[in-house]
Amino acid sequence: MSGKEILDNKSTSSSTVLKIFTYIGGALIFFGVVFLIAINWLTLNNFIKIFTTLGVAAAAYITAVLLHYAKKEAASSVFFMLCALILPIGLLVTLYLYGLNTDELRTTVIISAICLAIFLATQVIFPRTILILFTIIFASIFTISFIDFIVSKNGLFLANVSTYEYLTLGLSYFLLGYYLDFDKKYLLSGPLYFFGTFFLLGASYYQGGFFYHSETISMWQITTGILILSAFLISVPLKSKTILYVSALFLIGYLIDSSTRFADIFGHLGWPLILIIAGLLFIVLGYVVMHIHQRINRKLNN
Amino acid sequence: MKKNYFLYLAILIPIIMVISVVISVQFSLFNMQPKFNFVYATIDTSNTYYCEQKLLLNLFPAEYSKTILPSRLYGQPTDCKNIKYYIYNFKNNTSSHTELAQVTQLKLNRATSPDGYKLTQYCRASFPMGWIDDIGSPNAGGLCIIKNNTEQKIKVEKPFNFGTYVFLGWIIQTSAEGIKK
Repeated sequence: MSGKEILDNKSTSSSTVLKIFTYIGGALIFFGVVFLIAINWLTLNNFIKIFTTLGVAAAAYITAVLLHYAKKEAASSVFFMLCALILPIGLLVTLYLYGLNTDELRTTVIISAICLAIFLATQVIFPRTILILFTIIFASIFTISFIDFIVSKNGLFLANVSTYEYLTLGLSYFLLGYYLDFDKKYLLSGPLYFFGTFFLLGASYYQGGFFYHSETISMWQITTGILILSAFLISVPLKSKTILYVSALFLIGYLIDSSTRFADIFGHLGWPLILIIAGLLFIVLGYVVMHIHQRINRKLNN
Repeated sequence: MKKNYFLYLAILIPIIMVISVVISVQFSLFNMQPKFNFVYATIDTSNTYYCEQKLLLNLFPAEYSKTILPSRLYGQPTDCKNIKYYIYNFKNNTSSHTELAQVTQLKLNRATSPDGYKLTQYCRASFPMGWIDDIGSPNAGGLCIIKNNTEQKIKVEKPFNFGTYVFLGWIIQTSAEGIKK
């Protein structure tokens, strides 16, 4: 190994160590603030309650911006993270103290909308991966709470709204993950692919799964099968092992779920047949997953 | 620019979802207009089950002829005095107090209303994801009308202390008037 390579390796490992220490420090500050407020809640007056929550969030935000300008990116990320964690608490405390949190859903919509606006604007000014992450998180919370608010405001319960919410989120995460892949932001695209696949397949499986519904809804059962197959196929061009493994897990669940139909069709022969066919399918699935895994590795190495 | 299409699509899909929900809600509200009122009672006593069975046996002797009243629990009242009767009017979405004598004059349908509505004593979406909805929902609990896949909570008079509702039936006909709207 040349001297430069040794120096590069050391630099990478020392920046990793720096990130670990800063994130641990950030976590300790967060828990310290939370416990300080929780223990002294009854003795603090309203101004101090708002100051120690919203004030700390504001201070963390300003510190993060200053550290960003000072090119201390690791520390800046930690303070942005602190702000993202404490800001919703600060807003909730403020709304509570001013008697504005009568409706839980409305409060969630307001808080998530404010947090989304702040982090989206900050992301536009200082494009940072940590800011994209929190923008996505607050946008997701806002979308779900806003939809639930629209439905519940009129006293309604619409069937399967939650399922469609998660389908929407799953699809959006997938597309966002693919978009971020272009910019090689792999730290985010991996989790986005994971949650996207999980939500998409989970919501579809919930609709089409025999376990959840005593009478299977055929259209959804077919759709779930198609989606699982598509996820397998798409994992190769996207070079994502995450999508491959999540879809493999869902395929196992889907096959086990579908196999309960065998008992209806074949009567007392159903259960032994289920075991034999399930065993064969597991063997085939293992080879398929390994083959796709190798294809993804080849694409990543090219 | 091609990569930006994915970003625009990722943002557009939730917006389309929100618009779809707004349209679905308006459509559901337009469809949820029951034509038949219903009668219900609130039982405000600690011995709710006993009083409920006694009330149903009294009002619907043919339907509940095989009902055996539960044995008296030690110390529980059996006079069932705190029962109040209400007629829910869908025209102005209000409950008006009525008496037992008036209730017995009405022709009631205990199952579904002639226009296909049912009543449930607990508003809940489907399990398990609906159960998650219930935790944060201000609409869980109470009385709901159901038609097809849509439930809508209605504002009824709440029992004071122990509280239970007893749905007595959809008003098909009164003795004096024709079919009530």
